[in-house]
Amino acid sequence: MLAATEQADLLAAITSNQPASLPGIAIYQSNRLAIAVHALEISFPTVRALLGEGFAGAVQRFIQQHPLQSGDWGAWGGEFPHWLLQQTELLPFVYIAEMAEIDWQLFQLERSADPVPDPASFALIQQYQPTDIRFVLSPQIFLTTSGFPLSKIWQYHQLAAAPSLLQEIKSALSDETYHEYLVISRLHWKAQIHLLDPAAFNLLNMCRQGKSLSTLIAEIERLQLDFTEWLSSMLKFGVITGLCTTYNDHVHRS
Amino acid sequence: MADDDSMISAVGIGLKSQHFDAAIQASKQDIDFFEVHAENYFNQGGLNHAMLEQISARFALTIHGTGLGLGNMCGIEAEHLSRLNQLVQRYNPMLVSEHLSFNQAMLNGQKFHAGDLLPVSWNEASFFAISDNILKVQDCLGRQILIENISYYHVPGNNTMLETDFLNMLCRQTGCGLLVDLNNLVVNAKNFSSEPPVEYALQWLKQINPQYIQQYHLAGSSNHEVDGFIIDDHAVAVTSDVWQIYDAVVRDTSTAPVLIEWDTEIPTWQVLIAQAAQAKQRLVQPLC
Repeated sequence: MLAATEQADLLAAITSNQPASLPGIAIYQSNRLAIAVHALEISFPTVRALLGEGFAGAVQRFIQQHPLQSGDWGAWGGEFPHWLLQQTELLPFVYIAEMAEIDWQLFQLERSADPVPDPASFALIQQYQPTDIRFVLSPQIFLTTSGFPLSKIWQYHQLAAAPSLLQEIKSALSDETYHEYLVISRLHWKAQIHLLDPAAFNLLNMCRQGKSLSTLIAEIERLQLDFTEWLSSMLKFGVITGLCTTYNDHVHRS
Repeated sequence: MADDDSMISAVGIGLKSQHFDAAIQASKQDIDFFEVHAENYFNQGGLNHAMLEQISARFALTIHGTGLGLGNMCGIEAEHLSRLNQLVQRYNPMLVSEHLSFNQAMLNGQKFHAGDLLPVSWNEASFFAISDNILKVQDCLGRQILIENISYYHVPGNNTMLETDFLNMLCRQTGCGLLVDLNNLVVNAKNFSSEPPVEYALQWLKQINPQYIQQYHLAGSSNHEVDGFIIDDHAVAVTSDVWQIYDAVVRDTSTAPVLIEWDTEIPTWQVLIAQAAQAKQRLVQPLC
């Protein structure tokens, strides 16, 4: 038998969900599942807590449909949130799939390159018109909205969460008008979820679209927001890292 | 027996995230180097790199791969090798090692990954493919790598040579070195040999050209048995079988660095340091 064929046959036996026919294969099968469960426990800690004993079974079914394709278990599992959404038994609990996306984004942000704030770039405000400069967002952020209390569920599963939070979660889950606006960011090592009001969230979206400072200021005035407070929050969360010109070739010095 | 400090092997321990703080403050009298699993540092940034930067400023590192798939007949993954190379360039470790195992194959036209260390065949076709993979890795990294003997639960059916001959030939052909895991020898002996584990391991080591051995792993397995196989779980202290092999061979014939490996049921820092101290102590004075 060709060595390549033999390797393919062995791998097929190990990744199969059928009982092993050769001695020793069952050990590789259970080892693969144990590593997979451990990997997703790390990248989806909140979902692990929400699913409890059902988590390992979910991972076992997930890996059959989305097998590992590279040697980095930390990069495996990006399809897990969407897969959870498709599971009929979880249809009454759609928030679990949304929570999975939050878990995944938190995990990936913590693995990404360290943020590099650029405080010196704020000097641009002295040199350019507000029409010609814009805020620079950290590449390590994730913006999302949800009709579920994802930030509270996440917070509840962190260490030292207040027990009273559970009542707030139950209340929000039964409130059809509930909505939250979130930004996930990482200033130091640990990524954090920040709850924003709709206006602040909208301003961040405008930043993401590359809108100039003058456009942002006009929107802030229209909404009667406190610009300083908004900006200091965004800096504190590590969401905004600096300023840059909108068109490097067409700037007008003030 | 080594009677000069310069001839005594360096002793290290496998670094786990639970022990980052302790490792940063560790005494150089207790530990000579730390080993990290390459794939745990494939992320670009984050806390683990910040910790490792601090640790590597004081201690030598060895980087130990678990996912490159040197034994893949379908070749090694370019992206995985690229990330390993970035890590090696970043930390300039004392040694770089990887298991002699395969992890990927083509199934129905698609590459599948086992996420595990699967046994390779010890035959000519396998030898040429693996030699090619090792040479590619060494060319990319610009340095020698060590290949580690694995524990296994399945023996490929088309072996035509001994594992030891296969390893010697790979070292001769590619210029790579060997990382000998003594616990893997013990586990394989228990699972596949009628010989007592210590005798099996000593015989195995006699068949290896000692010049190729550049690192040892010492570990323990809990003798947990599944389907008639002892599982190599690295979940307990170095076993008496492994210490016996170490005393008989390593202490008197080698100055290769020695690593205490403990990968599951991670103990306290103090327990690991005590294991390292025992390895150092045995280098100069056999214990009962």
